[in-house]
Amino acid sequence: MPVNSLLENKRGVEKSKLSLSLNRNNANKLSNENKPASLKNICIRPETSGNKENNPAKRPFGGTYHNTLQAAKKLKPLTDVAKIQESRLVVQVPLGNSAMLNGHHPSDNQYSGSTQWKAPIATLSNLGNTCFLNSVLYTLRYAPQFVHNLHHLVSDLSRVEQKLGSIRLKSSSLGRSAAGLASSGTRSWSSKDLLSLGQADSSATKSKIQIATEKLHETYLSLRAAESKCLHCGATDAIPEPYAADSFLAALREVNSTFEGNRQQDAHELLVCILDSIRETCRALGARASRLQLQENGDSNGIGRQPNLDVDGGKTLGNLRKSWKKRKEVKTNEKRNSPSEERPPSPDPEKEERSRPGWDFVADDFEGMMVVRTMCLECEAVTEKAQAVCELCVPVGEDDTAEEPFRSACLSSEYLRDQNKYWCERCLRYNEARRSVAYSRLPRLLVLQLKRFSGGMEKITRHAPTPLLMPCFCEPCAKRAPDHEPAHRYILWAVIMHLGQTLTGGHYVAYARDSSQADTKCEREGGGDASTANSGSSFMRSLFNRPRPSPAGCTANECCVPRTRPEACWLACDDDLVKPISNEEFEDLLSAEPKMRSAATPYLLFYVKSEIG
Amino acid sequence: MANMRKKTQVSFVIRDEEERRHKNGVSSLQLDPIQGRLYSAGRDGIIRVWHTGGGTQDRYIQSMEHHTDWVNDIVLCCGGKNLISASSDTTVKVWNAPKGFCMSTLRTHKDYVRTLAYAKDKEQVASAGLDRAIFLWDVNTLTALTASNNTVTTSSLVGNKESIYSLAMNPPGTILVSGSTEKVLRVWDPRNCSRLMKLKGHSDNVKALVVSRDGSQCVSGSSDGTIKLWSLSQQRCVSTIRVHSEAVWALLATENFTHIISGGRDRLVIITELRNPDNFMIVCEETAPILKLCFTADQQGVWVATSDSDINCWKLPPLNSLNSDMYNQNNYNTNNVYQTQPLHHIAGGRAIKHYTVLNGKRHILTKDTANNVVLYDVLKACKVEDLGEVDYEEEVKKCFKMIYVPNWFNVDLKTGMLTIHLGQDETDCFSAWVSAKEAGLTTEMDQKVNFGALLLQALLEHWNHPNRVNEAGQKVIGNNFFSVPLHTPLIFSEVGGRTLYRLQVGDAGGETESNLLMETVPSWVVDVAIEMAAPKLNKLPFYLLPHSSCQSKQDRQKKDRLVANDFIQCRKVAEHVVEKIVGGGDVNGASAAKNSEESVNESPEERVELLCCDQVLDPNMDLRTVRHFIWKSSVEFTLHYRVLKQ
Repeated sequence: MPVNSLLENKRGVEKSKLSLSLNRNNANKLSNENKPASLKNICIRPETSGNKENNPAKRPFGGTYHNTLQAAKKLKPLTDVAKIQESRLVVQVPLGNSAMLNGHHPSDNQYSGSTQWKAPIATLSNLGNTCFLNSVLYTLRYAPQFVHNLHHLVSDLSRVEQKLGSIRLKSSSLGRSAAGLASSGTRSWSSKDLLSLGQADSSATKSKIQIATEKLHETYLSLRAAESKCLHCGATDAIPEPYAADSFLAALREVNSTFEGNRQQDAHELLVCILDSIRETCRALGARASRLQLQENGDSNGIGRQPNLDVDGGKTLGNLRKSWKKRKEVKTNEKRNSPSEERPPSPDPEKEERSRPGWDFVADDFEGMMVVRTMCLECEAVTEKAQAVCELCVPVGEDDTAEEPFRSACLSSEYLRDQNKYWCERCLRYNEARRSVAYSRLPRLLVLQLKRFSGGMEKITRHAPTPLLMPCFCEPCAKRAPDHEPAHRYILWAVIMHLGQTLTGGHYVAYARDSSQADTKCEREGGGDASTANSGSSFMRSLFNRPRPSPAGCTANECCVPRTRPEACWLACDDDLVKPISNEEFEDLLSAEPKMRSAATPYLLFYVKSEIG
Repeated sequence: MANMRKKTQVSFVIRDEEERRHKNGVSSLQLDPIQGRLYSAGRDGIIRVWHTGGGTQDRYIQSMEHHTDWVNDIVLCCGGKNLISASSDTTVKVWNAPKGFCMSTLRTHKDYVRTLAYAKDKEQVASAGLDRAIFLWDVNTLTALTASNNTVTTSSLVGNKESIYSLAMNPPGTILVSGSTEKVLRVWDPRNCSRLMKLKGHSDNVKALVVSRDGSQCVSGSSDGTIKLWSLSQQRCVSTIRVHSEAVWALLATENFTHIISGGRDRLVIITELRNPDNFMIVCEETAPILKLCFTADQQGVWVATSDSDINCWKLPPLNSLNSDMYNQNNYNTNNVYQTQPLHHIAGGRAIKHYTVLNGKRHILTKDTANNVVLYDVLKACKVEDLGEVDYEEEVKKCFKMIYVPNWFNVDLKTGMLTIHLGQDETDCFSAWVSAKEAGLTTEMDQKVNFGALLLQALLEHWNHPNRVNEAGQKVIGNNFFSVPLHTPLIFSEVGGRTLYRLQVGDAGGETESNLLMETVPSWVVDVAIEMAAPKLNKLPFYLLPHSSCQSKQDRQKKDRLVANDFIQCRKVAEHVVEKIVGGGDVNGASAAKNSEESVNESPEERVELLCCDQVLDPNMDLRTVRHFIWKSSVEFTLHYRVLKQ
């Protein structure tokens, strides 16, 4: 009698991985058309998703692509940057050894000869206007550390639920004595009660959100499994069957009905929805884990109380979590009032925080802190408001030639005047004022949404420069003296392009940099000793004590994280077509006048922060 | 198209007849060295005139009152005969300076008028403000304006892209410089209105400017904290002076343009040698940010105006005593100031900074900059009681009454005095009907009065409107209950905007005033204040049900939807219950009469009690109070009744 549909434990995870890949295999048995001998075949292969409304007139990558040494050379500048960055931030170029961690020596790569592929790449099939979904799934798959963090969230979740299951068993055998623990008189202490205790504000949507998060993990797990299967099948030209992410899509539609129907959707809306779901799942997990801890500590009075751990977690995270667009504010009941308060500077609590079950990695990775300052032009007193923000919205086509194209758009300054004067609380009257927007902190993963659909539905197709490398414009960096290097900068790791004229039509293609994530230092498992020693409770230690670092590193590397490719390169991800492209080809796509003409325009830009010095 | 015109707002100020002290910051100063008079422009809307002569006797001479908002700048011209003022009420006014009356009002600006410049040799004044326009005025034309000859031509300097915060002209009127949020200086030739140049260099708003007599040099003070010396002939910045730690808001150059005296947000007055900025000295430290500087007649001292209401005169150091010691010490601080005590001090008054409208919507409790708490009566436009330095919050709590009256006015503290705007739109000034007895206006029972109507009648009591005659041919005066102080300033303006007309209540009888009132006063005011039309009553719908504890014989479970005036008391509802529901059982007219005879001895509240949310209601409480404090919602207001005696 499973408690729910979650993957039970580590063993369970592996089992289901096996069965999943088998299932997929059976389902998509022998679709031979999808087995091209060369890349050219893929490109001219007839379109399978016939119900796609707006097929691009011209594919952005119609020719053959060479993932050659040139490409690797071209990557050099990025590599240098990557080397000096802090270990947590990853844009890493695998140098052979990482490939070996996966048990595959570059030397026995069967594909190095006749084909240009060094490793098989799993693909996603179009389920009917689902390129918006696929583009986001691809992007997040290659987001530095994203899948890794997701893996730990889902496995922590399954651990907690397994534990809850065992409590249920215990309590049923102990009968009423366990029920007494709950001090809830007549009701027996069932796992259901425990679950609902874990989520004080449990609702139907909430568990739907969790299911969506788990299905997302499952999707990445299946993609990884498909790649593994290809490697093991022995055929030199094996490529994975396109995977249908229909179960995730179904779960997503349960969470947000906007995504129902077969219409094209806004990829940005989807991204926000996915990140929201993960964040909510983190929160639920954190609450359950602390509830469990209380139970295990035998605190019989703890039922109605706010669990300690949750309070601690809230303190460190609440400030970042405070408001993430308006809908976020509605969702979270607990809001803290110190948004401008920065996280403690000492690295240890932060590290511990990251290994805490239910750590909100979305807040940590995707949220920046926006500071809005208003200065009355009479008394020149400044009032300041800080607000957590996720992706930044940038208008298109202003300051085309600027060296830092997004800086001026993001660090805006406007006057409140004429009929829109500012009521100054000191002057007790309406005066002119200047309102400026700055960022006291920018996230590790910075998402920029180009405002191509402002106002009406007519798309602004004007070219906007997409730099591969961008100086940081957070306040400490922006305020630096001109002769000083900024403390960090941003490196482009993905672009979602949009083709077509309207937001609800057209086609999405993702371009993501595939770089190794395997030898990322995992704080969950590698640093287990330090973190669990600090976490205090013996129970928490036993529950969340991560396995000793295995020779292969973090478990995520064998589960769902994309297979390491021998050479970092850009991947063009267009539904079930995923191909490596050279840096030149990628840069050509982003240039003002690409040689390969296409109607595609960058819509979402994804950057990863890189510390300097 | 009458309805296309902006709605007219009626406002008045509650104040003393004579306000001898500035009630808010002082924006500008002008000295008349011949008469020994100092003119100060107040953010309380009043220009005051002071003796500068020795002695510490009362320096106050008179007030020049006609503006309705901050007076931002003044210039004294025609050898002290006339004064020009610029205000946030969007007007520029021309005054007879010695007598202190307003000669004419110029309404060409569309937004706050922020700054003035004066070319002494040509008697020319320029005005500029947040509407980005610069107008040039010939003072002699302005002072010759009369009621019949009331047109004036002005040249305007166009080209500014943003709000103008500073202007300067040289005495011969050959150069005009403007400073704005655009952060550049724009230079013009006022003789032919041509643009000469644009000077870039500041990184923030430019709030202070001076031009040398020959027009070859200019000094600018900016919110970026710097002072810049510009060569206009070379069109470049000669030097940047960094002596202030915050924004520079006021500048004053010595006669021969060798030294600059500056002040600003850091509250320091600093004198600097222009050609050698290392030579500077802190003259004094003020208690508030400095808004304006003005030389004494002998140029040995400087009058300083700040955002506080005080005005001080400080002694200046001898110009040859400046050295770079202060700079070289590199730690100049406020211990190192030249003067710590002012030569002269003109004490300011207190600005009201906080207010609370009490629940009865008639009285306002205020707290000023000295923490003095004062109680005002809005209806009678007067001060009730000065409570002194008491705990404001405590006093507000003490004044709490469980009574609800709708809002009918808005309070404005921008001038530091109480300005009351009678409500329009969402706050209807006729929404407050109250019992005249409760308001202490009469002993007569059951008379209802409307606060807004009473006040309008009192404010326009002296207006000789031709319709102000009753049926018997007698003049109707005021509201029959009370009058407001004659000195009360009455202001008509566009809603949230420009002032149309200001007069004192007692002056409304004058011929000119009456005619201007005819043009200005909107018909909704005339209807009520002159024609004595009663404003409409506020109806309040509610449901009346028997209480669950009371088994009604009539078995009237149907929801009774009733409508009543919002001010009726629960006693009236109880009467209704007795008459129409409980006592109405008899069809027979005779017994009904008998019933009502009985009820003369027995008040309805003794026979029926009313409840709301299971709370028994005081018969004296009115319906809107019950809805506001007990029902706490604006929909489905429901009362229950319980019969006590059959």
